[in-house]
Formats: sequence, C-alpha cells, structure tokens
Amino acid sequence: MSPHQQNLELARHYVEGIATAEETRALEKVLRTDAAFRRQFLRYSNVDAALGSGRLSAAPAKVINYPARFSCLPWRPLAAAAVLLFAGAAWFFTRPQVQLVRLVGAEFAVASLSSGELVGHSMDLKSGLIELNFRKSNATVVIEAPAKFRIEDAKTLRMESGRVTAHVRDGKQGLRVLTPHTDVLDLGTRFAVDVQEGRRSEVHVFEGKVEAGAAGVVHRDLLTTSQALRFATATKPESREVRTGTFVQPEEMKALMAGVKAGQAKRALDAEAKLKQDKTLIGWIGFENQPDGSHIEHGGEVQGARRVQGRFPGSHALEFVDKDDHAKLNLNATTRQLTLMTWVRLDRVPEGISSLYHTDGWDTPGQVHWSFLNNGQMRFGMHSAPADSENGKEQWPESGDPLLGQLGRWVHLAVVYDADTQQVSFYTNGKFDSTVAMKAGLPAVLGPAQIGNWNLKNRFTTQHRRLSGRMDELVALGRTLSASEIHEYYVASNPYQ
Amino acid sequence: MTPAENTKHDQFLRLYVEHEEALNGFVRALVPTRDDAREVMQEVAVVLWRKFEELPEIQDFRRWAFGVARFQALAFLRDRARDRHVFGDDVLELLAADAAADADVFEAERNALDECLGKLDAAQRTLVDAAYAPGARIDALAATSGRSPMSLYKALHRIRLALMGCTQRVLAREELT
Repeated sequence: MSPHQQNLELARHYVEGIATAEETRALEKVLRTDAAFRRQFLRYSNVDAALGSGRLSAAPAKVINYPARFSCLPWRPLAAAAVLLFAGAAWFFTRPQVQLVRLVGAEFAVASLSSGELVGHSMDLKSGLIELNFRKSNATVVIEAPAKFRIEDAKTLRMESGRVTAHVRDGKQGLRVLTPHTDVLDLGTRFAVDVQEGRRSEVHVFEGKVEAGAAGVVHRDLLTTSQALRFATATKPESREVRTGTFVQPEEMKALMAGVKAGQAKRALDAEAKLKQDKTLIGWIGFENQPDGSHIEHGGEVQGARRVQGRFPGSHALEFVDKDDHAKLNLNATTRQLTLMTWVRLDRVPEGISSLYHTDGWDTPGQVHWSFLNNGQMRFGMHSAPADSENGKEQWPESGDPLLGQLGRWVHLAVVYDADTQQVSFYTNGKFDSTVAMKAGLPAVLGPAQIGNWNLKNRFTTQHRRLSGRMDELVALGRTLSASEIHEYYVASNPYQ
Repeated sequence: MTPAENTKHDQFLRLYVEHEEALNGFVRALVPTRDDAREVMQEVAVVLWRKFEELPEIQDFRRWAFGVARFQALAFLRDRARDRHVFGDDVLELLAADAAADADVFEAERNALDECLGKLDAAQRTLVDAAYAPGARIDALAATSGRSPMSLYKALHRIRLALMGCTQRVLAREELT
C-alpha cells in the first residue's frame, strides 16, 4: 500500500468513527504538514456529509434528478414565540411527509415555514420559487410566486393562486392538486397547474396521464401527454395548447439558484443603471414599479397580458397567453442607428409569427417589426417606400441559428440596425448570430406599437402575432451597440449561472 | 409573532437554508462522526438564531455562520477530548481555514454529486442507500447482508473515492463548456 493509500485509509477510519488513538495521531501528523492531503481529506468529508444529509432520499439510482439539498431542515418551536430550531437525531426517524428542498429568492408574506413538517401549513409566497418533496407520492414540486397555497396532507396540494410544476416519479400514489376551479389527480407524470386568482386554472400535461375535473363536478377528463385544459367556471373546460415552457421545472431551479447565489440580480441592476445613462436611450420598458398593473413605462398600456414574475425573484414580466394579449406603447423616435434588446421566455413553438415589438399597421417607410418565427428564427422587418417595394427593396432579414432549443428558459435577444451601413445584425444570448445587408438605408421609425402581439383588423382579415411567453424587459437605443457591449450586458443580466 | 419578527424570521430562514449544507460539510470535516456533526449543527443553528440580531450586515451571514460553526465544533471537541480521538487545535485551525477558503469549491462538488450518484451501479447504490439511511448502523447492515463490517466499510470507502473522482470530472467538463 502506497503512503497516499495509507493516508486515505486513515481518513476512512476517522470518518467512519473507528480510528484508534494511534491512527488519529498519524492522520493528524499528515494533516498538519501536507496541505494537498488536507484538502483531499476535506473533500472526502464533504462527500460523506452530503451523503448523510438526506441527499440520497430524492435521488433514485440511474436518474439524474434534484435531491433534497436542504432535507435536513428539522424545525421545532424554540419558545412560545414559535421561533424555529433544529431537532436532530429524532427527526431522522420521523421524517416529514412533505419536505422543503430548495428556496430560490423566496419571500413570504408571513412566517410560513414554521415547522419541519409542512403538512397543514398555508404559505403566501410573494416572490421567488420553492421546491418541495412529497415523499409519499415521490413527487418533486416547484411553485413559482406569486402563489398562495396550502399543503393539505401528504399527497394533496391546494393552490389558491400561482404556478406549480410536478414531477411524479413512480406514479404509485398520485399527487392531487386542488384549485378553486379544478381538482387534478396525477396518474404518474410530469404536469403543471397555473392558477390565476379569481379567473381560471389551467392544467398542462408534459408526460404521462392526469385526471382532471371542474371543482364540484362529477365528470372528469383524462389528459395525456401534450394536452392542456382551462377551467374557468363550472362550465365545460376549454382545450388549450400545452405551454411547455411556461413552467419552471426542477432542472431549471438549480441554475436559477446558482444565479441568485452568484449575485446576478444585483449585477443585472448595475448593468441596467449603466445602460440607462446612455445618452441615446430611446426607451427602457422593465415592467417594474408601475402602481397600476394595467400600465407600463413610457405611458404604455397593458391589454390582456398578465403581470407575472420576471427572470429574477421579485422582478416582473408580462405574460402573453391569449390571442388578444398585448401591451401598447409609443417610443416616438426616428433613428438611423437602432439597437433593440429583450429578455424573453418562449412557451412553445409559435404557429406563425410572434411579435416581440411591432409598430402599428404596415404603411410607413422605416417602421419596424421585430419578431420570432415558427422556424425558430428572429426577423427584423422594415417597411420600405412603395417604390422600393416595387423594386424589390422590401426586406425581412432573419437570423441564422434557430432558437427552438431556447424554449422554456430565459433567453436574451438583440438586433442592431444601421441605416448608414445598411446592415442588420442578430444576437442570441450575447452571441453574434449573423449580419444581413439591407437594400434600403431608411431611418427606423418607432411610433405607436405593440409588444407581444400585432393585431391587424380590416374588412378582409383579423391577424394576430401573439408572442406565447413572457417578456421581462425591452430596451431601445439610438445607436449600434457593439458585439462586446451586447455580450457584456447579457452576461451581467443573465439569471442563470 | 409580530410582523417585524416574521420578517426577521423569514430572513434568517432563507439565509440558513441557503448555507446549511455548506456549514454541514464544513462541520463534518472537523468532527469524527456524522452523529457528532449533527449534534454540532443543532448548536450552530441555535446560536445563529439567538445572535442573528447582532449580525451587522446580512451580506456577512456566510462568513459569520462559518465562524460560529467553527467555534461550536472546536467547543464540542474540547468537551469530548478526554474520551475521544480528536485532532489537536492547530490541525483543527488549519482544517477550518482551508474549509472556509474552499467553501465554494466544496459546494460545487456537492452539486456535482447529484449527477454522480446517478452513475453508481445498482449494488453500489443499494449499499449507499442502506449505509446512509437515517439511523443506519454498519454492524446491523453487515448482519442482514451476510457481509463483514470491514468489507462494507471498504466498499463504502471505494464508493466515496469514486464519487470524488466523478465530481471532479463533472466540474472539469462544465468548465470546458
């Protein structure tokens, strides 16, 4: 046995608690003098501690999933004031039926997590995300704020509002989700429920089967993979397209948590503050700090779209779901250089064209239509003079790399237009995609416009270009940002790590 | 609780949950057994909560909590030094300093462990599940499995080393992408 192996053997005995006095002294001597081995010993202990902390309980063999990092959270009352404390060994023999796994930037309206056992607790999650493990159902559940919910029993979650994603692994004992509008019973699957308080609940099935019925109604529907139903009142549920990317899955929690821990929210605010100092700033729509939920910055007006959590806990975004959902605004600018940037979360592959930012109508030379297409590409449309159209100068340049792999996660999109060089460049997640030459060098005209949609109604047709998903911010600058500036902003404002 | 107490309580809870696993790993390196670590962690939690009001800046929570954990582990070992085989203060100080300095690395390794656990074969996984189950004892496990305690200890040792190697590979791969 080599000296190194001998040292590891000493470490093993120590960690197992079976080291003799002589072995402890020998190990101590190595640790005192050998910094490299000291580090290895710490790593060895780290693995042992992690295995002993409940990590295994939620990590089935051969399945990469998301173990109970904080399962060792045995809270107990310390004093009459219901202060929290950690139980200890006894807790390990009476483990909670529903455990807290992770919190990502979670803020509660009241001290909701007052016990190791979460059954019977009501929670009002104001911001952030919470991950729970329903042990009996073998279900991992992610709830996104704002959300009001109660853990009724070991297999039942009651949602008054908010979004919940559930991954039930073996399906032996289903998880039940109750809302004011519906009663959902899992039959072994991945599914999600979106409850809009006072309005409706939607059930989305990504994989497997779910049984769902309107609250208080005997009839129940069976939903299978890629099906969704909307329950509004006691009337018949309405079939909906499944919005896979709407819901935060356990997989995404890790990257978001790492982002929060790394201080990305603060970096994003700093980057925002810096860019807002830019003298060419035309508009910054962050969907924040507007007392009236029906308005956005720059006098914009929200119509139908829902204000939801943005890419950071506690931040805001607009969500576009129904065909008429949009926000109106007027940036009121004409510029020869233009940069548009946005953070969006695309729910699904669009049916046709999805509007990121569309000026109204299609009759003014220089007006801009920025969109996302069903082939996964970005498009920058600019109207040309009628004469140019006849000469074939009307153009809709498109990006190269399809964005379809970016569904269900926050993605940063940017487009840079320069009338002088007659070029348009596209960027995805801070990375340069392509540059397309324009035949006409018109100044960009940013007049009355819509975010997230483009409704064109005339006597012949009614068109919609609804973006299915969320938009966190939209930035317009009257200059061309360089590739490095765009990359720098993306890195600083990225919610993930 | 008053609204102010609620806020304070939630703030503490968030911070503690965020750092609990790192503190646990840190304490585990300083004390000989998992039961010892559990005992120390109970004290750490109590002290952190009692003294939470004295924390001047929330941003300092991690550094402060590591300091409390280190102190509690050393106090625990001093109390038991007569009848336990523990390290001297100078080595404990070295370990404490290294563990605090590399806390981020250890956290990354714990996160990578999620993936590595999924790569264990069925027999390894069964053994790990049984040996790390709440209240598990190696002698009882040996009796029910028909293997000697020593063979189980050695098998677990090999698994821990394999997991250490795997976490390093996972982290190296992530750095490349």
